[in-house]
Amino acid sequence: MAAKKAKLQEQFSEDVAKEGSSQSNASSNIFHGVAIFVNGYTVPSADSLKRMMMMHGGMYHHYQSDKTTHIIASNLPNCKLKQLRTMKVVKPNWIVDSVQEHRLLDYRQYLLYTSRAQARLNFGQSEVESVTVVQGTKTVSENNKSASIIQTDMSTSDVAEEKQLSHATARNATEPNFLSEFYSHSRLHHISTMGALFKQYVTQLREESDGRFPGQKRLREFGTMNNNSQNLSSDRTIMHIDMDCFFVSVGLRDRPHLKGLPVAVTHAKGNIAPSHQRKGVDLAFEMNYYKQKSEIETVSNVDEIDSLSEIASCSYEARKCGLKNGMFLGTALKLCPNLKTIPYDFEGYKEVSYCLYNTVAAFTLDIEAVSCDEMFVDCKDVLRNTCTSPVQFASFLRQEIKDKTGCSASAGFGSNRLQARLATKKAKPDGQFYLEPSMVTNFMLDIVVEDLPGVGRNLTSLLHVMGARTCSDLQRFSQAHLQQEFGVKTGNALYMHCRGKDDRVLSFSHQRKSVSAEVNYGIRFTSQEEATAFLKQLAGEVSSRLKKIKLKGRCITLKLMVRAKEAPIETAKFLGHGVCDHVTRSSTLTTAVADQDTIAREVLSIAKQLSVKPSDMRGVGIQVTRLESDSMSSKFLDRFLLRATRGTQQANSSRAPKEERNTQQTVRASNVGSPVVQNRVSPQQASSNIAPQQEVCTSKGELTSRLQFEISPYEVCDLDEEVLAALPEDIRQEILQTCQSSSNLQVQKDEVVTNMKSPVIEQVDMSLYNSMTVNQVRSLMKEWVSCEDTPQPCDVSMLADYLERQVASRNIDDIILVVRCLYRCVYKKKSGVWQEAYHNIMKKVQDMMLVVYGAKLKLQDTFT
Amino acid sequence: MLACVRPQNITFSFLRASDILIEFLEVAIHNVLYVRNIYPTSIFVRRKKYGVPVQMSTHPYLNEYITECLKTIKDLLTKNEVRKVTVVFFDEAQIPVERFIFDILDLNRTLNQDDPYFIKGEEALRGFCLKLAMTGSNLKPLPSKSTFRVQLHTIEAVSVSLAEEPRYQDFPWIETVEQETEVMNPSIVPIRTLDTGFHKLQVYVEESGEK
Repeated sequence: MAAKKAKLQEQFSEDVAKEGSSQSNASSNIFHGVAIFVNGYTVPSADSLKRMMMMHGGMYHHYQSDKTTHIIASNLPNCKLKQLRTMKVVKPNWIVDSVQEHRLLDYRQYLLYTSRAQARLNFGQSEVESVTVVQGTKTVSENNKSASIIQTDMSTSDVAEEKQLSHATARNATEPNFLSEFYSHSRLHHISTMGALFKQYVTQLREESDGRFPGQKRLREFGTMNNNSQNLSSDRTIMHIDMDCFFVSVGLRDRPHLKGLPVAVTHAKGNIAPSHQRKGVDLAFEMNYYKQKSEIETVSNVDEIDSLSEIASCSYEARKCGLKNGMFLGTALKLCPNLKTIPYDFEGYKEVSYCLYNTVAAFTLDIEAVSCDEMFVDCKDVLRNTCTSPVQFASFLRQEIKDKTGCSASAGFGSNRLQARLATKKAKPDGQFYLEPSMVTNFMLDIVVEDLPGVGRNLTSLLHVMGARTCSDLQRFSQAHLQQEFGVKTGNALYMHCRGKDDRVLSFSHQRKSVSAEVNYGIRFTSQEEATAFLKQLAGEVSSRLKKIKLKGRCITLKLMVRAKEAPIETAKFLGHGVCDHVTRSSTLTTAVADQDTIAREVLSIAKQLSVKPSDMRGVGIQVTRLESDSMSSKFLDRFLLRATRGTQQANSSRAPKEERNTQQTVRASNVGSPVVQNRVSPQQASSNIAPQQEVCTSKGELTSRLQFEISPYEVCDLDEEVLAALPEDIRQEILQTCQSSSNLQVQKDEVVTNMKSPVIEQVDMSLYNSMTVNQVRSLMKEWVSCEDTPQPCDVSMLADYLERQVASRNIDDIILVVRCLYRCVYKKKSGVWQEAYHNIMKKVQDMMLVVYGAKLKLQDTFT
Repeated sequence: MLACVRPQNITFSFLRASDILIEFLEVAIHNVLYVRNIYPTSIFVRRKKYGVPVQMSTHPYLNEYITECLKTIKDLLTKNEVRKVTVVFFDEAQIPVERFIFDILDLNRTLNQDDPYFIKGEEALRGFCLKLAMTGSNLKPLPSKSTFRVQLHTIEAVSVSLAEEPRYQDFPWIETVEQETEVMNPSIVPIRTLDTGFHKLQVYVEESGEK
């Protein structure tokens, strides 16, 4: 047999030599190193393939050997497929196409099956062929049920394809790298974050702007060139720019051959037959649900084998066939059988979007970003500065965008957002429309209600019931009626909008309101641990997003999608969420957080409260709101502290107005006036300031008077001359005498000052003690013990007083806490004076205890 | 026939207040006995009360004693004639060494509208149970072969009425003398002051200096 093989090989080479000499013009060497073996029936036949290989430098094996690099087949039965597990099975078209293009094409485009037994469909191939492939898939997957297939990536380019093969492993949320995979592939994630991204970008541009707009100069030149600047616009002009079917036009940049054909951007390849009927799928139920929900034909005509992936964007040619964004691909293919699908190209979108924003930013920064391909621009300044009309500006700008990005944009102008947006709608595709104020009334009449902002499916159907299909219908309703029907806000908005009025202003700088991460694909937990682990991961994702934008949040919300009770366990869309109930709960924290652990902890505790069966979870989301920037939070803290101190001050003053006033007075006295003066003067003068002090002084007794005494020698130099002059003669004399005598005490002054200070402070404390909680007393005491070397006798007696009072009111619970705290403080101080003070205080307390309880408190009284 | 005719002025809430207090005293006495270790721990079982684990004696004689005491206390409480309830521990020589004092500061409160479900009140009781479990560590252990008695501090007239009341014949109350109530050279360890809204109760321990 080996000899036979070798002989055949030899024969082949001889034939090649012969062919080569006879047809040297047609031969090439493109198949160098390729050895094929044809298995089964193919079109073209094995023989013609052999000739092709001969002519183009390849090898043809009559028998498969280990030197065979590719197997050519159109269809393979199961048993053969099993044998050929690791071989590359390629469709014959590979050879044919390669010969046609005179280069070796990538065989991966032509694989009959990928290594994971996944069928690949190429749209644009003939109908017949795709049918055969579908059959192939069926056979494979019946055999191979465990290997369910997910298409995580949809690029046809080689690099991406390789990525797909390696990534196809992440199945559902229980696997550890699911989350990162999910976020690197989820379309919605990309699209939605791009909106926020560009809002941020505009803010950033505004911050960095130097106030010069290079575009304006160019525009001015353009304007003067066409010199018809007579048409100057009204004061306020809003422009709305929207790229025409953005995803499609970006995708078509590299696929010029598809221009003019119906094209849709979607991740699926077409109607791949369900790889196997997954258990528990109830398509009919879900379709019913979607139908009820949307009442739109997007979901009609979906049968078993139709693809349930949605169309993200479709070209205007496709729209003519009745396609809409958001349709299921299966439905779309029925409406438009020759629809070409192209994959997503996120890098391309990003690139084009940045380009778009940069282009517009060259003219003005009064931009409100809406999404990656849509924005509002306030062009008042541009038009005034450049003396151009909106139409000129638009055509100039659109041309520039087209030149730079290769994609067309439409622009609409109006005197407010609503008008601009509606004008864009009219302008599309690839046009511009200036809705002049005079036209507004007529223009609005024909606008259908769905086109108004804020009018979604629900509202539309409600309005239709009311008989309002266009704005002219809607205008017939009174404002009150609309408000009654839809609530004050919506009603008012409808009333205004249907008349073309819109008072929403553009917001140019964007303030982030929330940061969240949500996953509702592939959530299939089997145990609580898996759910917990996933929530932790998701919390990590949110945390990293928060950190990226340097924010912290105070309100953490957990959003769960829970399988609806009557919904089937397995969803029609593989690992999709199906019909769900939405459960949301949030918790507010006292401080703003951004770290994973805290968020995870909060979220887990919320999840615990909700107690949803892990197996019923279909979607999980964590949202953080009430955001604060890092620096802001510290500011808040400061403000809070400030408020808190002010609060206690107020509380104190309200509780003990007398003491407070007294304190103020005393402090004032020590600063300016003389207590001697006050004491003497007040009875006669009855001044409103002084009188209360007098009262308190007498009632307060020892402590206050001691204070007064200590202060008196201090009032030497700065006597208020006016006060002095106003005093009766005898008193003035006395004061002056005191001053003279105390001026001799200058040396003592410093000492007195230091002495004086603490009683003043402590007197504040005294009043505080009454209104303070035990904890406050304890912390005050700690401070007192740690600050002073020797305890002031007045403080000691004050504390003792306080404790005695507590004993008298039978608050022994509190006393024991305070006393133990004092003991610890004093013990740490290791100072004899303090220990003595402690004993003095305790003696008083115990005496009081004996009186009230007939027993002493059990206390530590030695410091050893 | 029954001598215990309820006075007309007793309100519903007052009755409830005494019920709550009796229930609490029962829990407290059982726990005090457990904490002070005068009986083997095997006679106690763990139960849940006020949301915390508490210990309950299962010994029939002991339980009977406590129940009978509480019956009397309840009668007196409804007449508002109890000042203090004390659990006194005696050493071998029948000298009081320690006593737990349940000082009823205030009982005559009307129904507290702020706390209709008695949540705060229960919290206070729970707090006490937890605090009591800790108190053991602050006290010196009781001498071996200690005993205990429940003593009531009431008004003068009560002792007479108690002696004459036929219901208490099986469980007679006797007047104590000072040597049997007062702890020598006492020092106080406060446990907790409870304010349940129905009653204010201060609980503390007097510990003898010569234990």
